[in-house]
Amino acid sequence: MIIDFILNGEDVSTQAEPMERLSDLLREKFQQSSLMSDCLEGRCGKCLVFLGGHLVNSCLVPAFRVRAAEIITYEGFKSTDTHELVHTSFDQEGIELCGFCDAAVYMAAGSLLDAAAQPSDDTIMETISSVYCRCATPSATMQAIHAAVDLKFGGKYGRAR
Amino acid sequence: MRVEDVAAPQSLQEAIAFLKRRPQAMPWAGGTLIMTKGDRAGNDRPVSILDLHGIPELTAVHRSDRFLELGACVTLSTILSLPGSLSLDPLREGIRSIATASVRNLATIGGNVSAHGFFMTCFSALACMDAAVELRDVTGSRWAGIHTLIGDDGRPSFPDSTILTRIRIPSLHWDFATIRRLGEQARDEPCPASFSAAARVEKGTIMELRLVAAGRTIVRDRSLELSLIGQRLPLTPKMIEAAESAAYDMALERELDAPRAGRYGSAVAAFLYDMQGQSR
Repeated sequence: MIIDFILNGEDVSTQAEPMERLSDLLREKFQQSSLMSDCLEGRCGKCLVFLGGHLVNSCLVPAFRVRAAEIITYEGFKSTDTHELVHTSFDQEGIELCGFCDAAVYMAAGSLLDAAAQPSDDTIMETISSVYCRCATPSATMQAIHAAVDLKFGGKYGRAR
Repeated sequence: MRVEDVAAPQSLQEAIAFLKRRPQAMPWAGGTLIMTKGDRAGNDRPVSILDLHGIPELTAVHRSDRFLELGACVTLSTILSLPGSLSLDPLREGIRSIATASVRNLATIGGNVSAHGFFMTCFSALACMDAAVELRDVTGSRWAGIHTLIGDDGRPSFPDSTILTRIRIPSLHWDFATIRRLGEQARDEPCPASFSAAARVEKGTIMELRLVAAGRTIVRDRSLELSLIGQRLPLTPKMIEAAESAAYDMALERELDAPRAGRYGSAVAAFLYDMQGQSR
């Protein structure tokens, strides 16, 4: 079947099997090499993308489901201000992520910054635990995300800067 | 699974019209279970998929004084983001135990409830909360208690060629609620078996009590619940032991394996002890 969707802001179209995993489709046909198809069960979180603005595991999304949808992969996310914020905060906290984890962790952290309100510690923990990453301790990652949140929200809880 | 065709209706009428033409079509909501475990037949038969995510009615959340109504395609993360003032404790706790936040952005409440062959976590929570479901097929729609999705043998019996469209949860306040796993997930199961309980206590007396275990079969012993309703707290250790033993026997009768039946009995006892500990 022909699948039309928006990938990182560009209209794209491709031929795919309806049940082909989105992670495979993006890697093979659109060279989105940041995506890893590792566990194929939604456990490792190495294939996170934004689908319609929501962070999802692309290995659990069949190709037919993305017709007319908007997808942002790490390749697209890299060019956003949110990524800049997250990257700066992780650098400042001295967290070095490996090439397997960095894309997914930055995207998970970015999803928290795009929310309307400041995320709670529980929300941060739950979101970050979507990615199986042993490059940094959870407390260090939490600190880095808090730093990014402070930069984004100006340190004022729930109020405009 | 070999997909013959995929329909993406934009309204319920279109979905039902497709179901009329293809009664064997597989409704697709979040698809997380099918993508991880495969379809229930597990063979290479050609299937038609009815993709429900584009139907606005199925993603709506309505709230009134008496109940909360969730469209079947409401995602689990949306339910977690509903205001904390809503009395959804057993369901919220259950959802938090399901997968990761990013998977919950895909998984839907309808998919969790209508899984074939196994009662998943939300089912036990919703059974505890006396939820009702709206089922729609070519003959029309009907509301029924969630217990109608349980067969006489205690196993799941979701009707064929039917779409689950809405879930209605009464706005009842629960003073105590819990949900916990009954051991590890077996290899051929989509998720671990779960135990849900909820109770309302007024002036030291148990006014309402629900004790449900769900896995391959569902265990709910109404006579045990009724024997405890109306009792004043604290319960005597003897009464709690009797409840544990009755729960264990009922679980065995419902073909839960012995270790799980034991855990169910222990979970019932633990809930009763917790309840009276907290109500002091």
